Amino acid sequence: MVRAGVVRLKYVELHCHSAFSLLDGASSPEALVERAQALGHPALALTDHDDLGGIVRFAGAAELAGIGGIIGAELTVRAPDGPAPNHLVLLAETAEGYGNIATLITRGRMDSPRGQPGVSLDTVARHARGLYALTGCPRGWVPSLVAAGDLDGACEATAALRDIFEGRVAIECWDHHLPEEREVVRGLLRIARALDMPWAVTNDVHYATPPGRIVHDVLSAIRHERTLDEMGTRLRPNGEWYLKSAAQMRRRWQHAPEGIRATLEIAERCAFRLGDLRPTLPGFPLPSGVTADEYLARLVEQGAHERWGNAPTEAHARQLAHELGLIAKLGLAGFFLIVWDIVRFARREGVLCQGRGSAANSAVCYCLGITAIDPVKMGLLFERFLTEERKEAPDIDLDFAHRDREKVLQYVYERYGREHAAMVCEQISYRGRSAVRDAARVLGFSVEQANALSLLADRFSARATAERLGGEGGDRGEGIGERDEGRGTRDEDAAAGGSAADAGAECALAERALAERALADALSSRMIHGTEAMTRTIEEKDAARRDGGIPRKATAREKGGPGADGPMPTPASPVAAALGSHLGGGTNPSEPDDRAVPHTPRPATQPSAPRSSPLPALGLDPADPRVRALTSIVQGLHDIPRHRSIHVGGFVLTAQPLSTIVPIEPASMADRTVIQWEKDDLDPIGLVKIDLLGLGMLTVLQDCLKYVRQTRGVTIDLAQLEMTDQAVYDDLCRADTIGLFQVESRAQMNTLPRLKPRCFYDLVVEVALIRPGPIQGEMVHPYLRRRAGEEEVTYPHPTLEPILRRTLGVPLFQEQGMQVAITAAGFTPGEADALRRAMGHKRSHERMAAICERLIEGMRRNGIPEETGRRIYNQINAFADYGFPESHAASFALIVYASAWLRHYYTPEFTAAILNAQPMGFYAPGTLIEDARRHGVEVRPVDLTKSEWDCTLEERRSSPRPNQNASSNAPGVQRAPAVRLGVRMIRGLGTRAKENLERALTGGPFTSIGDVVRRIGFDRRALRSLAEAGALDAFAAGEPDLRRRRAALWEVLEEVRGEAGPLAPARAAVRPPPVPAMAPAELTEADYRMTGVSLNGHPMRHLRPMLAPNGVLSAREVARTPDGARIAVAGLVICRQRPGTAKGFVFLTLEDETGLVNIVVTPKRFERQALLLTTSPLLLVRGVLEVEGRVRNLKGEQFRELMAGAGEEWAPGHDFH
Amino acid sequence: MALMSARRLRAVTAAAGRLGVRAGMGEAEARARCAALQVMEWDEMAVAREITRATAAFLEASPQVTPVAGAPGCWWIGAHGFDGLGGERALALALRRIARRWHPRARVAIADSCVAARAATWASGGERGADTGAGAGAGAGMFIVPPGGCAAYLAPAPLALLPMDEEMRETLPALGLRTIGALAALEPLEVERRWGNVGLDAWRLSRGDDRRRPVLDRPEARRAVEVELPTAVTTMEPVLFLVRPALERLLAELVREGRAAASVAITLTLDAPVSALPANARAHTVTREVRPARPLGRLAPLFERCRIMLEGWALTAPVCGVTVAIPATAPLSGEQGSLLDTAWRDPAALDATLERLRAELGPAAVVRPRARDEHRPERQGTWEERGNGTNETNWTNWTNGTNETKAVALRLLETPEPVEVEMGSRSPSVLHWRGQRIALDRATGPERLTGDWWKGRYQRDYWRCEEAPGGGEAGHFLVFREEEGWYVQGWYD
Repeated sequence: MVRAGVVRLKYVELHCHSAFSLLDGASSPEALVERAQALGHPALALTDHDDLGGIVRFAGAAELAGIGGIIGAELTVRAPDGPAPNHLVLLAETAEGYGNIATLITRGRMDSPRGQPGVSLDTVARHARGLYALTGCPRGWVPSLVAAGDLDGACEATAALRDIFEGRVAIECWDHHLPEEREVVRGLLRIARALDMPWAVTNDVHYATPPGRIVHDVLSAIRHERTLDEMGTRLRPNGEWYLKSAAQMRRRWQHAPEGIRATLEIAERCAFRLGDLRPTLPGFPLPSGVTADEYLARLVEQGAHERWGNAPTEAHARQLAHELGLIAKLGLAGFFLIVWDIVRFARREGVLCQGRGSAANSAVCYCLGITAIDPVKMGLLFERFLTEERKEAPDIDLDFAHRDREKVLQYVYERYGREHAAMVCEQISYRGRSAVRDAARVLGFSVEQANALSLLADRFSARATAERLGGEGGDRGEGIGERDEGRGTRDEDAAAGGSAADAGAECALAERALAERALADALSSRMIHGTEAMTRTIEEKDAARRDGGIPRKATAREKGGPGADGPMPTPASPVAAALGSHLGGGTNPSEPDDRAVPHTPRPATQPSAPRSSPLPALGLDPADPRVRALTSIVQGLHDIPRHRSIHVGGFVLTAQPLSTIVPIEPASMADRTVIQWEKDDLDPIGLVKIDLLGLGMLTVLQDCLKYVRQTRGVTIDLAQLEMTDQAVYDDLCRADTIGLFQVESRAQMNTLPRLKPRCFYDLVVEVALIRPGPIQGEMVHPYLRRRAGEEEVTYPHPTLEPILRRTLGVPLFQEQGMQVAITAAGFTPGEADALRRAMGHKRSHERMAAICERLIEGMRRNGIPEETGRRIYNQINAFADYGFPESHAASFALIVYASAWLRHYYTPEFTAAILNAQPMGFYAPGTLIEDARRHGVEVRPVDLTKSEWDCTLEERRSSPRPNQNASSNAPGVQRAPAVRLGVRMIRGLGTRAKENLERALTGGPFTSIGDVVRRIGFDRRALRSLAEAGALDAFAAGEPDLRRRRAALWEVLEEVRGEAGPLAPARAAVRPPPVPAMAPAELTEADYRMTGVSLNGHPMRHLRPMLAPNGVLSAREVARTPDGARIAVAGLVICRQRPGTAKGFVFLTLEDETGLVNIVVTPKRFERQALLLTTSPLLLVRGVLEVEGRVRNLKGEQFRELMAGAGEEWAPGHDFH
Repeated sequence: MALMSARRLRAVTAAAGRLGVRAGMGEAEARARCAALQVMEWDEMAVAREITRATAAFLEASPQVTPVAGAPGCWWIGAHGFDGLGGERALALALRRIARRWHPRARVAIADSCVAARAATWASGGERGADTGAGAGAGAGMFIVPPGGCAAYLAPAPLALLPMDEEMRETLPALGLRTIGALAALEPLEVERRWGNVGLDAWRLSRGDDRRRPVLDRPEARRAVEVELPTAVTTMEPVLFLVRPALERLLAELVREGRAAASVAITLTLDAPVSALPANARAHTVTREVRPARPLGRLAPLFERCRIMLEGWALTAPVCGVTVAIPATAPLSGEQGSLLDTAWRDPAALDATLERLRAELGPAAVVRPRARDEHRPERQGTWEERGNGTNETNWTNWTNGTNETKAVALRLLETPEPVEVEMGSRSPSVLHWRGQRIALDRATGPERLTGDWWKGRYQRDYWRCEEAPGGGEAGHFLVFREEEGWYVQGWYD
């Protein structure tokens, strides 16, 4: 009831923490803004602890919501004579003030130990302009002195702050229903009166709504590394730290409304908004009298001459002129020069590099040497890279050989200075597994239980995990507070059904079956193909950014305007509602806030066990309150940032000091600094990012070229490869692609024999084809059928034929979608790019619908029927973002061909290079080595008398492999060396092993085990590992082969112990070591255990004598078996996949001593044997062989686990990535 | 049900085990498997009492019974000399019968060495125990390794049955040595060169050479401390200097065994021969004894008596050595001390006293207050049994990290008492408590406490109520409302 004539006082929350106050804030910036909007606050300040990581999201959300987004931070300050670092809230009044906050945070982070930021009061004084300060929470300098009873000291501190901020400071007061706070506030108000200073009310918000208290408690426990039970008074005493309505605040401060009024006055002063920032790129040092545009043009001209010789065609010249004109118009010449400079440095240092992505659409980039694809020759669309309408710098992503990328990064730091250059961060947020593990940890579950629970987790989404844990009919987290009700229901059901015992037994059986099914679901759903999973992650992240993590829109009732007096919004979920009402935070403002009577809790009831919850299958009792709390916690942790990491390669450069734009902090890696923003935060501010990425395959190519030069004296220039070698394409057609870039996955290997690539463009198509976009758009099979001549090549409309001809009428590339819009619907190139981006991000259904209509209307104007238009729209929409641009596919196809060519002609070198570049790629070293051996490469074991840390190449005694034909144009192929495995292959040697070994080897080769022990500097365990891996076998040459490594270990143990004491009895004559010889299977087991690979025999070799008489075929035999045959195979499971696009089908790859066999498992069969299929290292599979051309798949029907006792459990697999 | 010690379950019942609850789990982990699990603290006293009872019972069968240190539920029992009493089989049967009073599947094995006997208890299994093999079968849950057959019996057994260093346990299989026999076959010198003494210990055990033996009741050791002086002294002062620590050490040992000194003998070795002895006679000794009125376990009074005795001892020759001995002891008993006498501050005596109180009144009778890190006032302190090594409270507070707390009421009720409250406009105005109507002058609040949402939440609004000044002194009450009820938490008076 509002009394007529009373003007309602509004309120602005000036002290508010989001989840970016890492582990001390439980709500996303968007959720806080949405809540503030719903409560009718005119503005909201975001004041995270020494962090501005959330402000871009916050500012964007505030702008959308139409409320003032005040930028601030709660700074940790080391006050003089202060007992401990304290807190000070700073709000930006002006752009200078914002720059000062960013600078102060940077200083606090850079000049303090990692994780303990803090600045001195002097530093604050030097950067106080443009800032408004609040004295902070109870841990502020002034409040803590008041709390300590030192009112005089508090007065002095307040006066000092007033001097520093020249009067722009207010005393901050709070009331969370705590007596100790009220005591402090009384003292603070006395100081305010005594010094005649303003004071303001805040609620020191740490979560948007009352249910956020749970998440905050959990995060606090994680921060303190304790369980909730151990937290005691470290947890806040109640749940009052949520964003409250003006009415609540007024009621609580009705005795002193000036504190509320002050919030509005301060908010009005803080007029700085993030959109006011205008960062610029640093200028590139130019020769005197030359502009950046002129210099760029000169470089491009020079590059064009190198690329195309003396006769560039008119098309070339036209394209260059067009691009240079646009670059000049957009003022981006400096940006291109910076990128060119980085590439030039890499080349100079011998670091293999290549531009990827849409940059390959640019002839300028090609001429500058940034990319390796000629866009004019390939007819690539420049507007996919840069358009006038976009008004922002284009994305240029550069790949470098990953081992040497650090050189390039440090060059950029040095070139532009650490004040102007830093890497972009990546905010690591809670996903399914991490949420489950941390939730289990704070609840006091054991590591084993946490591991078991994490098996059920969705790899990417904590929310999906919570749903899964809750089960279909489960409480989905509503469990807390609703316990007895459910149990009652179940009991009644049982009683009503005749014999209670029978009913109970049936119920138990049914529950068990359901639980098993749920477990299978859980296991299967974590086997999502990486790309699809990443897609989901991106979608979820976008959704979170868009919706603020709150899955529903605020209702009109919540928005309510003056309805701030009205009922509070109901929490986002029933869980939240239940919890909120029980946790004391749940004060409902519709009731008098300060009433003595707390809310009536719901009756405590017992829940039924969620019928399809997988928890009982893990031995967890759903009746336990902690087990029920687990779901709520996991749900609450969804997308909450946990820590900050470095982006994979994003660099930002600015002309002005970067620390005035965004705080910089040291990264966990030495010599790296990162900004507090993610890549998605850069565009709204106008910061330009250059991606300097590491690519393992470039390291492989770089090393391989070096090895070829060293071993065969042959120098190869990859740029000169003809891309026409049919022997290489033969390999690809056979899907003989293990270890090759991009085409080694199971899906690619299945596609290659169907696509039968015979030229470079086929590789471009192959790379682009197996992507979520084309797969989801159902374009793969039509393309393959058309390519095989099984389907007629048609076009949606004749006008589209020129665009779609090279992909046989099936749109595969993003550029094709754009060209269709340009040609068929009359879009400008810029509009077409905007269409692609709108489709890709799918941000707004309304916007998408409008674009769709515009596209179809445009096509209709050009004579394309609406139905056809809609079909075209659907096709290009399907892959708009998740398909490749043609230029990117072409850049990758170059590397595909180069890797295939090198592997074909220089297999030993390629094998050594790829082993030394591990970890990378799809297959484990064991599979790579097995494959190399099948290709005739002699692989020699680790031998400390010959091996170095890396794998090396040795002269080979026998002849090279048969398929390296002498007629090839590849020089030196006849002198194939052997690969000597390096010590790096041995597990468990410790982090300093490489350094120690290399230092020891400078003193010459090892001569005996005693020599090894004395010089190598390994500890006892590492030395044992050397012996067990067979690296010391050469020193036991007198022993039989199968006894060598045990004899070596026997000697190692003695040598490690050192010389016997002087009084020790003299040893009699040297006796042979009293150790038995290894059985062959033991040898294989030791190999796999210590190195993951065995040159002494595949584990399957030991089972073959038993399997062969029982009709179990080897991979080699399967290759000769006809279609439709019922067969059995067995092997190590080296790969498990369940692509999201495969409708639940699971794909396994088995490896035996002769090759690989592909297994397909139907969803129903997988459901029945999920645990076996996901955990057994060695499987026997029976089923029907399906042969289609060269593609052979065994449709698995029966599965059984095998045990060879030959180290199969140590064989690493590639599962569900 | 499960017993917990140091935050881990130490023992679980078979029923709990069937639900997946295992020793070593944390309580939360165990409850997650069985919400209805009853968890009790591991009670050393109770366990010790039962071990004592079982030991006493085994003494019915054999005079040599030693509970195995660190392995409650396991005993070494002497099996020599039973030929005339039915032999080892009869002994084993008797022991099994006794043991099964405590556990229905208790196992008994007899061997020459402890290591073989323990290994054989596993071989004997439970009710389905194997009675075949190298040893003489003796029935289910029993196994007898033939005399002299330990090494042979152990030879095929896995190394896991042998106590040894972890590193050695990892290395032996890598050498292809997987049985105890394989280890026993190694040369001891080779073993020592690789694993040192720990390796030799394991090697000896592998050959059945186990030094551990069941013993008879431990014979009382001679309780004496001998000290030789570097140079002979002619006054008693240096002697007193030596006697005090010697006496202290002897008494500490005694008290640990629950005994007190009934007498103290001090022997001085005199350097010069007395005239009655031949000239070349060696130094001789003189002994005197102190006998307190009753056995004492405290140093101060005993040393005081010794000091008096020594100071009155006229030396006839320089002293070159001192021996302090306690020739007679008696069970330690309580004695009345003096609060004001600092000499009575005797931790050993206190321990002995508290032990007696516990023994008489039960283990929960002796408690001490302990602060707890909790928001709820009634849980901020607790009584804990003395001797339970729980962690001290960390009073880190969420607001400022200080180690301070403050009393919310002078008189705090351990269990808040219900109270009827008449509400005024916004706050309590009258309390009806313990039959009294208490009109309030002022009530400030509410102060809100909510929490423990993960295990049984609470939600309270506290009011600090000030009694209206009446005839007597105004009282201050701390009351709170939880759910539908009002409670008094405490008061100032």
